[in-house]
Amino acid sequence: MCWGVPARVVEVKGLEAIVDFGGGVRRRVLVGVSEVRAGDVVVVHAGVIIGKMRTEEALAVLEVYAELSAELATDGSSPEEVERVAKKKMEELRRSLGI
Amino acid sequence: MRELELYRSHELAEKVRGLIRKYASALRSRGFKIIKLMNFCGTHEWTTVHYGLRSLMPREVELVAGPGCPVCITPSLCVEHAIRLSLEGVTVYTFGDAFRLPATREVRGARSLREAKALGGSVRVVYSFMDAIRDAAKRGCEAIFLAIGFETTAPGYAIPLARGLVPKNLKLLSALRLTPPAARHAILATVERGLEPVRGIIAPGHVSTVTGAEPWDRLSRELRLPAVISGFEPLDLMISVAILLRMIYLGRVGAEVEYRRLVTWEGNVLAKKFISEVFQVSDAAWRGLGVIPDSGLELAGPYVKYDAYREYGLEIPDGREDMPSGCRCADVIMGLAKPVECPLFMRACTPSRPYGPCMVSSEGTCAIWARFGGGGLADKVAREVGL
Repeated sequence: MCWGVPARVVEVKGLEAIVDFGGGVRRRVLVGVSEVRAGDVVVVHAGVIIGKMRTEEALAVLEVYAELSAELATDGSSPEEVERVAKKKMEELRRSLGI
Repeated sequence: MRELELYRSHELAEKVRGLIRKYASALRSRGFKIIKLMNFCGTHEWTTVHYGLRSLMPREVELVAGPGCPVCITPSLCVEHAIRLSLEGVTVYTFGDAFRLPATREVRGARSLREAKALGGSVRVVYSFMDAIRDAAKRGCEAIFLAIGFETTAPGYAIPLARGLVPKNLKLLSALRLTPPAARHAILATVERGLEPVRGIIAPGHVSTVTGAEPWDRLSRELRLPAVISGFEPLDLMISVAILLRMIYLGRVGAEVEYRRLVTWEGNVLAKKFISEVFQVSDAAWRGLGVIPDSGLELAGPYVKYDAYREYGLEIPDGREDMPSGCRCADVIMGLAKPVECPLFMRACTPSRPYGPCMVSSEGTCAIWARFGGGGLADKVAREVGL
């Protein structure tokens, strides 16, 4: 029931907006957030825009991973060193995905 | 949206799995035999089962589905009211999920809105409340909307009401419920029943998009359990599990947000403003769970004129006699039983012929397990291939 589907805003028309879910699917939905503009990536639930997506925050997962790695360093290296290595690995992963 | 490809990265998934194992092993050496983590969102359970995440967890980590499906917990009486009204000439609008939801008692030969429609009742399935508004305004008919949902869905009702978009002929039969009070109820139930206690909360990402992280932080601190607000990609959930294990390892409580691309601490301020303008919090019945204090939303102030309970003098559900006999949905919803432990599962109760409420929605635990083999098949295969 709480499905939320990402979509790109095509046009804002007063209280409603046309959004593009991809694959040629467009719908008229209610704007449920403040300051939405054409081009924004949003999440739509039951015909309502419930949130704006901050795609740049998606990369935070890489930092979280590095931070989590540092805690249980077992090979004798310091947590800072482990975190640094993990961060480097994550940066490589990001580049290999072309992001 | 290329950034989202990260959440499908096999390499990263493998690394996160390694972390989960590392933390589980550290916790095992501290005497933790089972680390039970409970989710409160049907979509999390869907991701968990669909992607076989349970089979990727170390033996100590148990992922349990708590109350997270609004269709499953909508009181039978709400469905019965809607069936009766539809057969009396009132048009009933609702979402597809509620259309097939079975009531406990038959009303004039119908146990669901689908059956009521087959008997000539006026029932219309819509994609959104706005669709119902447009249709009801055009037709001018006497109508109600069976308004199911959690905090995620509440703005969809509150905004049109507050903006004056709802025609007078359309009333709201609110079955809206709030998630944190039910999460609290389910977590405390495991303790009361002497079962393995819940060690961490996987909090719902889209509910929190509206409410913000703050209510989960409060609950976490009250129950002294860590909470992580998680997204819905398989990697989101795996990272959330890793964060929770780390918090348990460090003895931390409070809420952390994994789903940072959508959830903020304060949530959707605009939606919250409309919700508090249109609704007030009330004690409310959850199907199979009884009445939970401060867990429902009812129309308030000038908006009571849209209240279907008032308009038609309908009884407010009190949570009694809410489950069909023999059905274990109440225990499944609370995370106290697995679907496979119900004698009716995939026998008298199947996705095409649901008997209990958890078999209806694509978010119901029983329906998910029925569709994707959550009964342990993935675990068995994983063991056989040595994962």
